[in-house]
Amino acid sequence: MSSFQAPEEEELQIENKYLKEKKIGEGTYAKVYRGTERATGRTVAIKKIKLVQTEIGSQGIELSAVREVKCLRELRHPNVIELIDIYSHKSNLKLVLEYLDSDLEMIIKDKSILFQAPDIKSWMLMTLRGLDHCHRNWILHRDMKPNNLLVGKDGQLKIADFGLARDYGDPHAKNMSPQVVTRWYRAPELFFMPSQYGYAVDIWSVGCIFAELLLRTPYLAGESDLAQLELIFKALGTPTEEDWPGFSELARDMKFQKYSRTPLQVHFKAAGSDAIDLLEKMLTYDPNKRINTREALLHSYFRKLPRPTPPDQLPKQQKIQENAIQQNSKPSIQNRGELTEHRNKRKAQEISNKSEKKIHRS
Amino acid sequence: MKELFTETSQYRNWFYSKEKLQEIREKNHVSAVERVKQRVLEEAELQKLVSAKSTPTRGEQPERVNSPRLNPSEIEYLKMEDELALCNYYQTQIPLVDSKFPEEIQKNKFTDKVKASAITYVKRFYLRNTMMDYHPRDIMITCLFLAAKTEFSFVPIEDFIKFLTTKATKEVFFDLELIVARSLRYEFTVHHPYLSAYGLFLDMQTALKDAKKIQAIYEKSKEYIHKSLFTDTMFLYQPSQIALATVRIAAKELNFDLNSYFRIKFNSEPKGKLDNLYKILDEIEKIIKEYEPTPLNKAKEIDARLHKCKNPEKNPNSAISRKRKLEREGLEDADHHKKKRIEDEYQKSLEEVFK
Repeated sequence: MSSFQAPEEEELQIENKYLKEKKIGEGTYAKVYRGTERATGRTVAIKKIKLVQTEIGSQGIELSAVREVKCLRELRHPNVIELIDIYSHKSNLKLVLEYLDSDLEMIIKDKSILFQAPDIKSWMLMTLRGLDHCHRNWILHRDMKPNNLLVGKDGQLKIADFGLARDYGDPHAKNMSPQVVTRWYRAPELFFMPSQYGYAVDIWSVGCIFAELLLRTPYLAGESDLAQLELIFKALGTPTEEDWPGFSELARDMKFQKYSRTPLQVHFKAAGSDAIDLLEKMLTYDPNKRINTREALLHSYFRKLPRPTPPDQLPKQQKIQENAIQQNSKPSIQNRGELTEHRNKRKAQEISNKSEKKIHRS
Repeated sequence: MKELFTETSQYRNWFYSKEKLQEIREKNHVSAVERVKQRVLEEAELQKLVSAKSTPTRGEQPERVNSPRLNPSEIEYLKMEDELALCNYYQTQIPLVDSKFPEEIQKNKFTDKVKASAITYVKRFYLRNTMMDYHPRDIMITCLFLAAKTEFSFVPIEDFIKFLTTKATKEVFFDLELIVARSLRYEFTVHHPYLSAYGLFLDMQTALKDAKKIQAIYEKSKEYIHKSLFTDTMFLYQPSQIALATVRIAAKELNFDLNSYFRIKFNSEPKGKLDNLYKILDEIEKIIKEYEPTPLNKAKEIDARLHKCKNPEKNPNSAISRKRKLEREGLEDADHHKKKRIEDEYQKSLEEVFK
């Protein structure tokens, strides 16, 4: 049994299982490579964690990496990215992850793709199932957005990027950083600098993703934190003490214009009444009243027709599968062109992501 | 629905029967002694070679890592029991180490959870490693540093070096951090009995009347949970079972009859299951009550012996680790070329984007 194997030997074996091939991206705290599992030929993503110099000098294993590893080691679900292996090489930590070549943001932005109500329902279902698994395991994701919902060739959606995630459920948890979640998907309570909050922040983000799928454009795209809050109030009405008990206390030093609430149906004309109802429950101001993953999964939206599209029949991006090239080894000229195009898109994406990503703590 | 605990890494990889735990420790110990013995012999050979070849000048000569008077064949290696006793001693130092930090850090950073995780990490580490490779003092500090990170209570390494009188540099701790993380299989999540005990506390308040007594029981039970951390209970029982056992001990001690509570909670359960639960609670109670910390003089005595049987390979000044370093550098050269090629290709693909 593996229990008797020395840790170094075990790790050397893990390292030798994979072949690192090509660099496919670079983020704030990691470089990502495409690789292959030698024994099976399976394509994997190898995320090499950089040793980041913080303002107080190096602090060993990067904190985001610690968070990501801690969470992913506990999670096993078809809608959560699989952390296949981990090894360290000299002083670098390497995470071997499932390789998925698309994400929901790319799909939403690709105007050549048409999608319909059953497709949206399918993506929502997979997102909520994955998130429910996280919450059931006391894990808050804290960065839910279309860009972090990866989509595989088989159409399965998987929640990824747990660099901001943390475990929750400790009633005495304190000092939780409010500087989490990409702004457009950030729940209103987070703008009031709370030291504690809960699973509801992820639900708000999912509500924004739901709206984005319906509109095919980001729903609440604020340009600054203050503008974001203003935008939320404009869209959903400035909350009253009744909507959100405690709101007037939170907002006591701030002046907000009083916007009245426009029914969501006005803005989301094409959506059915069940979809609107679920969306409304996800975008509820009071975090305590906001729907949770369990209730959302039981919502009539998922029970009534149309049925969600089976994952393998979901619309996909028309692009060359990089794997196919590998197998054929001689790509046609045409294929090559498409590949570059795909790469360019990805690149543009990464650049835009990078500029958005902030430095987060605790 | 599956029981949640069975989905945790704690259950999958760090949960054993008593026999299995014993077996793991024995095998780990036998292979460790075997390996260290080999290295000691190899070091002795290399030392002989070096001193035969060169006229020794100060500084160039490898340090004699083991006492020169000791013949390699006469070295007495630590026994499994020695390692366990010393391991226990250093675990009990974690709450004491904590007290050397400023109060603000003690209170806000080194929570019960952080300390409990650090203790668990030390224990798990030595299931797969030996003190003859890694001294428990450094491992203990590394585990506390890592646990503060994994429990979202980060304390900079400079603080550890400042407040604990340690000769080790931060680079030493960073290296050890990776070694510890690897030995833990990067499974940082640990479920402790504290949260279960808190749940029981809330539940008892709704089920029973005597709120003041229940508060007292809860406080007392936490003391027993602290104590349980130094025993093997975490490898053998579920956190909720340990919590229940400590609450039961606390109640007994405060002359509070928990039977009515047990009746409310468990009477609908089948008898066999209930008998099994009571058996488990008795076992946990016995382990906690029989626990004795390793006294300082015994720890000192073992530590003195440990210094004579350390693995020379882990000493950077030994002949054997100098040899290993040269071997590694050869491999790294080849590795470097491969890395450069991958990076070049990536940069080229980046340029293409802007063409």
